[in-house]
Amino acid sequence: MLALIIRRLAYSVPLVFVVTAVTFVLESLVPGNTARALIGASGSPAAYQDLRRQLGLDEPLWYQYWHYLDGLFHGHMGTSVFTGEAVSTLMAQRLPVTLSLVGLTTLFCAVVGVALGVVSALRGGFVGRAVDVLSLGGLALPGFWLGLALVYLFAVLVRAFPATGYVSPTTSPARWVWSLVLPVVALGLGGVASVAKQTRDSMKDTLAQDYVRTLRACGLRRRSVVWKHALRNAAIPVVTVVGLVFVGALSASVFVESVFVLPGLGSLAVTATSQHDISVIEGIALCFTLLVVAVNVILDVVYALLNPKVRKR
Amino acid sequence: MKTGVTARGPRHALRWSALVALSWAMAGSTLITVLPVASGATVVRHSRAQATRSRAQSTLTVAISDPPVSMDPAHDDNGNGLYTAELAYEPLIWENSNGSLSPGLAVSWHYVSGSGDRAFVLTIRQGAKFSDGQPVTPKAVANSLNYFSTGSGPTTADFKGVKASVSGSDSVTLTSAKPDPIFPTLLSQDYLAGDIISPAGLRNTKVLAGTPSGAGAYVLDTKETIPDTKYVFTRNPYYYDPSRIHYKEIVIEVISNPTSALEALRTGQVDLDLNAEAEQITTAKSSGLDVVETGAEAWDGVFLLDRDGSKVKALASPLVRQALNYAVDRPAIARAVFGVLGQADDEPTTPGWDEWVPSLANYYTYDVAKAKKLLAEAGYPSGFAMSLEYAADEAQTQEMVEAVVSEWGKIGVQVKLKAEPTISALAADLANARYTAVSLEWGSQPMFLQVGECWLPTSVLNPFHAEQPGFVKEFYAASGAPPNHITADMQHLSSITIEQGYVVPVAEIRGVMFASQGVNGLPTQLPGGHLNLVDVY
Repeated sequence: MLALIIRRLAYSVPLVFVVTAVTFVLESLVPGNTARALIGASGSPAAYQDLRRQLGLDEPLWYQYWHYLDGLFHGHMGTSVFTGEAVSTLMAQRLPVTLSLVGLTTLFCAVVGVALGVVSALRGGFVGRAVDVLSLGGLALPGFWLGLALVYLFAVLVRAFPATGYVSPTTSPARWVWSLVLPVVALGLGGVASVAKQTRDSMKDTLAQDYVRTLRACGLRRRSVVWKHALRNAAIPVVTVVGLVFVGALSASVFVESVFVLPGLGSLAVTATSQHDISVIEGIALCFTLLVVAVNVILDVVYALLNPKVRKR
Repeated sequence: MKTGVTARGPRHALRWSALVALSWAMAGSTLITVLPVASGATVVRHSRAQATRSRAQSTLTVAISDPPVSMDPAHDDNGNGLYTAELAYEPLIWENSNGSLSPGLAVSWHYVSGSGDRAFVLTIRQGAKFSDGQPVTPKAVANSLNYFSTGSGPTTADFKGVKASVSGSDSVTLTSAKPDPIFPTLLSQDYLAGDIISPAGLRNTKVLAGTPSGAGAYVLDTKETIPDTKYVFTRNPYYYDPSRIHYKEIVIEVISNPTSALEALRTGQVDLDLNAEAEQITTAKSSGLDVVETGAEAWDGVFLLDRDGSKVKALASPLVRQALNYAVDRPAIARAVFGVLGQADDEPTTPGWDEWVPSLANYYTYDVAKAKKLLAEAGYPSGFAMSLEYAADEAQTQEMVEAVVSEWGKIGVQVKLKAEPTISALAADLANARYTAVSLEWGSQPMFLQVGECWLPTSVLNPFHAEQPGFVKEFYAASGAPPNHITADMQHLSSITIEQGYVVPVAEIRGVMFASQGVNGLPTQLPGGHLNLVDVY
């Protein structure tokens, strides 16, 4: 088990290189650069070239990347050309917001999705069909549009939730959750549908197994058979989907943070990309990569807890 | 026989288990929703009430579309960056909401007589202090101005080559090798040069990029501020005119989505929405919000770059360029593309600026027959081909371009279009002189700056280095003219650009902002549509 985790972490090292290199190259291909973003459309060609030289943008791309890696090896993620702040400081400020949003979304999807999936597997019929419709709707509705619709309905019309903004949990835990209800629902509805559908399918397969029938024949209560035995065996593919929901929510957080004006990494990524602030872009790419690696490690641990055979590998 | 299953018992148990599971799921979801709502609803009522009190006593919250580029005036742009800059930095000269000028850190100013607008003297206010309590001295002012001229922001180009020096116990003199008749404007809060940075700020310009250091009415609260998202300003205790500070706190929130900005205003989270769009006016009015339409801030049109005919010979002819102007139905396009905020405009500026020539308003009426006649006179009865590039991220410009190109097609002018993905990419490509015309939304500005950026052989918007005979000489003569001659001279230069068809303007674009009721001090129907946040109360 420990060996598995160490192996996973070891694989992440070359992954970080690949991600940062690809990000660097892709950013260089986007029209415009930091100097142009700073000097504006009306800047003279001479002033633009001077600024390019000052910022080191006239150096070959490989040299610029090497310069960035050198800083990274020494523990510096660089500074934002626009705000002068260390990228690590910007990350530290914004990561908790994104983690709150994505973490609560994943929890929401897992709890509600599993519950709906189990109910649908047990009941079938109308409930099953309702889950199918929810799945289709949740996957079809774009999160951006859903966010705006939720704001209109529950913030403007009903005034139950704030339209925008984020409250830190250290300021007020209740207001922290309150400020994230609409963003979590907007981001998570599609995930609920995916988890519910996977749970339903897995549960139906598992409940059809002979051992389940045997357990019932032995006199175990239905509740115990479903929640203690069947769900545990059905959970492995569900855990995979929950992991994918987390990763999907991480990517989609860019749009939701924009709609709800949440000061997370997603909104920072949008600003940094439009400004061609390469240090910040690289920092965010690195952070997202490490988060995905961490999620994969956690998934492996959960698999091992659910399935003893995995522990022995 | 079915094993382990009876007709009634297990199915009944299944239904019961399913009900229990569903109940738990619903209870859990309800708890997650109700608990914060129960506490949050109180907060909502409290927050709304607080918002009402806020405006009157403590906090003004403003929504803008993009964050400032930098908190350092020398690297900031004069777009949304002006809102944060004018709170933290006191300019030498204030441009008021009605376009007039009034003292800031400079109490008076004048050009040195006989200098040909090359020397300008400022008298510095006594008793003013920076936010760190240090006095504003002529030396601090001169150092800040000299630092600004080394910056990379778009407005620093207008200040290059200007030297500032202490010329008395309370005066600073600016000298420039070339005439500069608009020093008062350049030293206002609109062009950032006059935003004086403290000596402490100049000692650490890396920190200055994120934390302003000036003598403005407010100070940035770095603990509450989240860069690129929320900027919190609190009162500056050292500000020389406390009566001008109307709020305990001004919060500037970056809300890039206009719909989100309007919803935040409707729910009371924001007091003033500066990221408003024309399409939202009806919704804002029906929500009981104040809708403030300001004077035109910009105009949109097509710059004809190849005026020497390097690539397309036809464009060298003034008759051809005039034909392109006559062929455009400006009122229809302005209405269709820019809605209630757009108005037909055939001058490369907007009313109220020094290059606006009242006698030439509606100079180019829509006349397709006249356009065809002019083309024929120029030797192009069947039309010709040209190219035009624009930025795809300016959605209204794209619509306008398509309409204009369609109109030109009626007189036989075929246009090859190129859409650059962003305005930055367009600006980067401009110098390559690959396209004979470019379409841009252009901010209104003094003619002196307009000529420098657009019509001189070295101008950014003149990649073909086209030169109208005598134009440059007349420009420099006008630049050094006495103040009472300048406007007339600049208008004459402007007349040349209009009559010779340097550009095909299409529409002037007014601004709009939305505010909660009770927010005062907003500009209305003013040339330039000028909002000073410090004047809002």
